[in-house]
Amino acid sequence: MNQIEIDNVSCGYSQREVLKQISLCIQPGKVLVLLGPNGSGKTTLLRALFNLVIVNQGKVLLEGQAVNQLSRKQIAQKLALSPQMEAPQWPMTVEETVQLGRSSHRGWVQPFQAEDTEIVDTALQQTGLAELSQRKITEISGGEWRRTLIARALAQQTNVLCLDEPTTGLDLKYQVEILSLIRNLAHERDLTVVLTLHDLNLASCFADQIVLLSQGRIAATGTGEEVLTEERLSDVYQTKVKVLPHPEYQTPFIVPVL
Amino acid sequence: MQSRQLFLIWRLLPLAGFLLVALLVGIHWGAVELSFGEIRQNLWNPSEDSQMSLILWEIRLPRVILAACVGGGLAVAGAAFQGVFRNPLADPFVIGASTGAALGATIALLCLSGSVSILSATWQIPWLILSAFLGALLVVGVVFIIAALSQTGRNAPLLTLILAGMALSSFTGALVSLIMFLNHEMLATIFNWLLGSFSGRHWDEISLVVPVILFSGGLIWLMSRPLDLLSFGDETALTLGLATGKFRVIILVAATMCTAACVAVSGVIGFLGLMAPHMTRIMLGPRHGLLIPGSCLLGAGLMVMADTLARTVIAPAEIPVGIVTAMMGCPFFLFLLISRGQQTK
Repeated sequence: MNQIEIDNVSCGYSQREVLKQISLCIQPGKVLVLLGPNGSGKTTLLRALFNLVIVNQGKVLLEGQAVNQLSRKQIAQKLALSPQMEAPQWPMTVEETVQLGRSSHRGWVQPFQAEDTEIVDTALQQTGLAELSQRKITEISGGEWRRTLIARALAQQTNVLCLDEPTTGLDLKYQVEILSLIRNLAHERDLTVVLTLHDLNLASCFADQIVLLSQGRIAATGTGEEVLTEERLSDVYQTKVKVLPHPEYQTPFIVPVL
Repeated sequence: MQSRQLFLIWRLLPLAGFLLVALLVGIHWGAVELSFGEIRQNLWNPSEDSQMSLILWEIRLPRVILAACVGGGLAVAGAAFQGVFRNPLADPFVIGASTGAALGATIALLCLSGSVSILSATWQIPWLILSAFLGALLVVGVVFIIAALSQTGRNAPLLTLILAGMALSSFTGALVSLIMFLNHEMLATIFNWLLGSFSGRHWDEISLVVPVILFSGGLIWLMSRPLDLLSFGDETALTLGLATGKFRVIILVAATMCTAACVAVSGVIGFLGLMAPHMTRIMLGPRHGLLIPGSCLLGAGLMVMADTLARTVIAPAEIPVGIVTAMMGCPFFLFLLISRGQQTK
């Protein structure tokens, strides 16, 4: 069974339809990367998985169930999202923020258990935040805040992990570390990972499957070699590019030509 | 985890101690000073014919208990409004709950009384409270409808709610002023009531209002985790599994109910609902599980102190307690803000 099935979906916001007739199947244990220019509908596609947009046509199936039939709590137990942007309001600590990822498992009144503390500690370690756990989220750097959001999504312990531009604002070390962590989790625990990226080369290295979006439609889907070709990228991004083989892995390596 | 939760309860103890001291001082001071020995003696062995016992049981105790409950209630409602709106400026006044209650109560005062001594007849109190509550709910409901109708983008509802609340608060305030203007003979009564006071309240009022405050305050406390989640914004709260619409309505109705009960029994007492949650946040951190009981204790203690000052400073006359909370609270609050700024530098 497909973990996620998007069947001929057209969706968007009240004034504007962003995605048009998208069909896509996502298998467990794979890292799927959504690529595309600004405004091509990457984030909207992620939001459609969470039933956060107006679906005009088609349906999104999560483990065979229509996502708009599920309660918020049920969705949160199956899907986790690390959002692109989020403004912290009150000065909670990093640990408290990550802990709230456990909410959907504990309900609204039951206190957190020892099991939750363990899961939270693991998530903090995996994202390199163990030493910052008592810092206030209003006083940490942008990269640390992004890792906090990823840790919170990890703490949800869902089968599907969605990350909206998880590497934005991270230095090279954490870009590679976070993506390696996510890929390992996907392959070891059979986790389904859907993420959006802007860096074509990172996508080419880490993705098992790439979906290239252009103006709300799927321009191409497949492995890096299949999708990331010179003509297609030049066309979709309206910028001339050259594709070379990566010196280590032979995956496509994209450089713009000025 | 268990020990950590126990530790959290320990952190409330200083605030509980503060409330206890405030209560004792509030009982001790007054037109007739009760020594702590007398308080203890009359508390355990009340006697019918002792004057001290009468003062303690019929005047001081109801008054400090009511002040504590209203202070706690306003503080909890303030914490809830700040949490739901993700806005540190929110307080029980912000979406019109307070002025709505004032309007309801003013209309009730107008309809119920031929006499000037409004609150002497206890049968009127339930109607006053009910009317205040309905007024608050009506105004908040209209604010909600306006916010829903004018909703445009995906992030709009919070800001529209606050703006609509402010607009309707002004409108309702103007209505109250109009009623006062048209009823000269009632002017002093309504105006005194609007300034807020605990004078002359008895066990009857307490038994009516306190259950409402306890119920709605308890409900808000149970909503601590939803409030924590809402602080990240609607969209995140949704993806973390919270049906935001439903919980926002529950919390707002509870906070409105709490505000209405407080305003109905004591008039409009400003500033405490804004100040107490902020002070508690500085002391105990922003998690609502701790913030809400903490705010409750602190708000209760501060209100008892303010009321004690209000009835002793120019004794035998009384200052309306709302004036005291604003005049004493504001400088202290500003001092806290500045000293916190110094610390982080």
